Amino acid sequence: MSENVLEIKNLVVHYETPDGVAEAVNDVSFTIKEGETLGLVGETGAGKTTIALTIMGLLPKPAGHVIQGEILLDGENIVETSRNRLKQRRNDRMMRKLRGSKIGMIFQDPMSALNPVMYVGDQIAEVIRLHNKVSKTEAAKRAMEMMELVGIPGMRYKDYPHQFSGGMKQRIVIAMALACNPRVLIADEPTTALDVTIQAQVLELMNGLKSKFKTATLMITHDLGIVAEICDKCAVMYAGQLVEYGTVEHIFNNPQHPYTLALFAALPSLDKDVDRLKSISGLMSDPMNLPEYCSFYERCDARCEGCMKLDPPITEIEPGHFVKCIHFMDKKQVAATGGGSEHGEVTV
Amino acid sequence: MAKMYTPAMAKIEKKRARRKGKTKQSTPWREAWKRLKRNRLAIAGMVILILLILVAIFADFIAPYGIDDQMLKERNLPPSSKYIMGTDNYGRDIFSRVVYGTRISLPIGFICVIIAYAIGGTLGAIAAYYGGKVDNIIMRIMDIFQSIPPMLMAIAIAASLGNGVVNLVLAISISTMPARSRIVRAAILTVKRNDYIESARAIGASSTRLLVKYMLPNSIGPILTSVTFSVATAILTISSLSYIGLGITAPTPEWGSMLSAGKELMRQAPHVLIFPGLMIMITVLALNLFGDGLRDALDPRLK
Amino acid sequence: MSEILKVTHLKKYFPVPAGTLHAVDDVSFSMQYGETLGVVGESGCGKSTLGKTILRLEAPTSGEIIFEGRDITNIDDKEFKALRPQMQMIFQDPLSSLNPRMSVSQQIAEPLRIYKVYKSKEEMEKRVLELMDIVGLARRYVDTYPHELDGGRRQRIGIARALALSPKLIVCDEPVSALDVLIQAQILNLLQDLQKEHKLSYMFITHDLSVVKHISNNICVMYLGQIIEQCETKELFKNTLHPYAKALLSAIPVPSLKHRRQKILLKGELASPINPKNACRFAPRCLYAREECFASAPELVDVGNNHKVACHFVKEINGL
Repeated sequence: MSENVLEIKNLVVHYETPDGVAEAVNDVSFTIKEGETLGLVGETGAGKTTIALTIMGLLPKPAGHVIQGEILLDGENIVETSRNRLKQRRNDRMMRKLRGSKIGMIFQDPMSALNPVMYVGDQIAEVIRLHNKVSKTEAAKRAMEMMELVGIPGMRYKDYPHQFSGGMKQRIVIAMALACNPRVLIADEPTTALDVTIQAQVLELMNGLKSKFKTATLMITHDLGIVAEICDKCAVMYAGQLVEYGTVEHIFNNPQHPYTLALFAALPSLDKDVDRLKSISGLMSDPMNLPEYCSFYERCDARCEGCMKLDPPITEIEPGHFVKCIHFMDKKQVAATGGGSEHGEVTV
Repeated sequence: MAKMYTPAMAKIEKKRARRKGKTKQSTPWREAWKRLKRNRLAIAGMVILILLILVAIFADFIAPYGIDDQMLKERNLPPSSKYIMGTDNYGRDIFSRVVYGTRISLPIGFICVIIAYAIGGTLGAIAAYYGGKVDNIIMRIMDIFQSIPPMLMAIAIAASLGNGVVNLVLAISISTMPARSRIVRAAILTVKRNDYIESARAIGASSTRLLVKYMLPNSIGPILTSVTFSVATAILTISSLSYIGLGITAPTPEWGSMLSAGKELMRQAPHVLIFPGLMIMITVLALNLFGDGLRDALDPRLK
Repeated sequence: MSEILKVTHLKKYFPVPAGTLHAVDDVSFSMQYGETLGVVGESGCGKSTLGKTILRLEAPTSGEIIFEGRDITNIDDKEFKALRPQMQMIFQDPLSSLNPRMSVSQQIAEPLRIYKVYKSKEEMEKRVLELMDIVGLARRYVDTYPHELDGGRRQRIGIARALALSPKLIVCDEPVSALDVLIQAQILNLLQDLQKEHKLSYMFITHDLSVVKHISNNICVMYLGQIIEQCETKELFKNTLHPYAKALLSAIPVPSLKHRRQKILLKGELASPINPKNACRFAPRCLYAREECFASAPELVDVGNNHKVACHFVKEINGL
């Protein structure tokens, strides 16, 4: 139990706006152990960033609400589902202490984390001093160590962010995120805005730091290539739900869910030649208008009548490999639904 | 249909059912209007402005007395049921004068702003669109004008040309023109660097078409907002000028000159000062509230 | 005449406070009718500027652009107005490249209005609907605005608008980079279908090598304003010669656990394109760099099979 640094249990998050309620996250559960990297994959609107924001306690108010579920950081729950203002405020205060110290964050745009009018070294030192009782000199020393660790010469301590290129800025952000040796690192599309060759450098860096810091990392990306490079586990999201979840070996060598298969089929490959790319019609389901049955039904190649009868449960089709699809339900689940589906034997 | 039905959903659905979805076109203007409607202060400002305009239009029916009717036996009377706001030093009903005052401050304020934007704005748009030397020349000329504080320039122009509405309008328009040209120039410059300008050039759009169909509609937001604030400033300037005896003079019931007339009676009959002053304050406040709301509603970042 | 476009020694320089920025520096290539030329490179390599210069959205500093046999390098705007419908562009970010205040039908009709193609409103509207059908945009979106639609549909609007005047050449500037994987596939398929049906030639600018491999016949790889490798697409992937192209290819994260590629990690950062010296611009980051690389700029040389490379030691590095 104590191995799981981060544990998400049955998380449900809604955005309540005057135009309707967006069901952004619908009963999501996964775990990340120490030193493990989980790749959270999905298209725009799947809910990946919402999960990241919820873990960090940065859901936009007043619209964002955690309706149910738990997020356990080293065993302690850090989300507040009650709407009581006092409890919310207490939770905010707690999260402020955790962000930067126990939870590190990297976003897509490095400039969203960097202060343009402060030395980069000082920005790293600031994070250290906010969460540790150390002197200015001690913090500066540690900051310089972090800079060297991410491949930036320490003598650039007194440079400003605009003097660095995109890739180097992202390295500084990584240094800031890891400065206090957090338990969890949340990386939301950290290399999407970078050039391919720079991305390779940064990913290499992150891989190296992984073994040194043993941080549990949540890597959010739309790029399956990145998942193959640096992730240990992978979770595929669609319309706020996990449709497939397992180790990278499971997902890449034995993908089962129709959506996962569609994602792989749509990628232009460097190795083989195809005439046309395989794609599926339609768009990501509207989170304000999700059906009670399978959200992927409209676009699924493998759909059948039974799919409209219920929202499929998550089935473990091999140890550690989970799929959310009616066609993979095991005997127990079929019985529980009253035998409503003609399908449902495990296919491993 | 939903994955997990919550009480919050029920509440929101009820509200939407009340509104009854009229599927009209969702133009950016309509979206902005929706956002504006949610801002209560802005709506309050707008309502006050509409009321003021209505008062100006129907002044003849609202005011019980004429602006020049002097009831000499009833001078400096405090507010009563006969004279809602009391009477001034010449026995004139203040309420009636204040009501007719809307016909002066508001229209003149608007006209000054329209002229300032028409001339200054066009210059600013041309400067922004062509850039380079054209921009430099126009803006340096504006700089020269702007180096003189608007109020002082307005005083100088009004003092040299004499009193009267026309000269007042000229004074305020000219003195505020440089700042307006800058605002329009900035708005157009922001829009100019957008990709859709370049993509419009790629399909062969001419300069005029770019300016009129692409740049102006997209920059009208910040311009519209500053127009509302400018009207507020213009009204204050009009009042200030007539307070010091320039521009509009007695017996015209302009609120500023009414303030001036009443300043000696501050101790004995404060109501002579308070009501015109209140009107200025309410008008300017309404314009500012509405302008603030307009700016928030039109801000594209909120999309 | 089978060449739709021939570009010779094209240069585009920008004056900046620090000196002269060599955005496009001596680029030459030719395109055949019906071909897709891929222009690949990372940010700062000048590929976007190249596309815009060819369409005369930027004035070339020197060199020649010959379109359908006509020299369009320096022709004035009036003459070019007649040619413009033949060469159109699709932009990367469909949200920022569409006027937020125009509805879908207005955007698509713009080129038709500008060139006064149709005399009657009905004919124009009919053509707009036709174009929407061609690009797979449902007719019910006729009066919607860009901000209401998703990235894929917005890009279709851009494509419909580019097709409106029946061009011969379309410059696609990163048309799918901002789109999700499944939508990307849809749009790429659409572009391919349109090419066959309407006999289009594409200049496909992108940083994504897997996309360009799928869609292009020939490729130019650019670095800091220059073409450093130029050949048939299949040839580039079978036989990558230039050290930068090799590094670029190896850097792409492969979505597979089996085909792991040995990564060539480049050291350092991109050099500045302002006032570049007469040397190989890739030398500071190249693993094979020697003295000569810093002393003189390599020429783009044909090493056989119409495969051109700009590298002093291309033969030694590849054992040719």
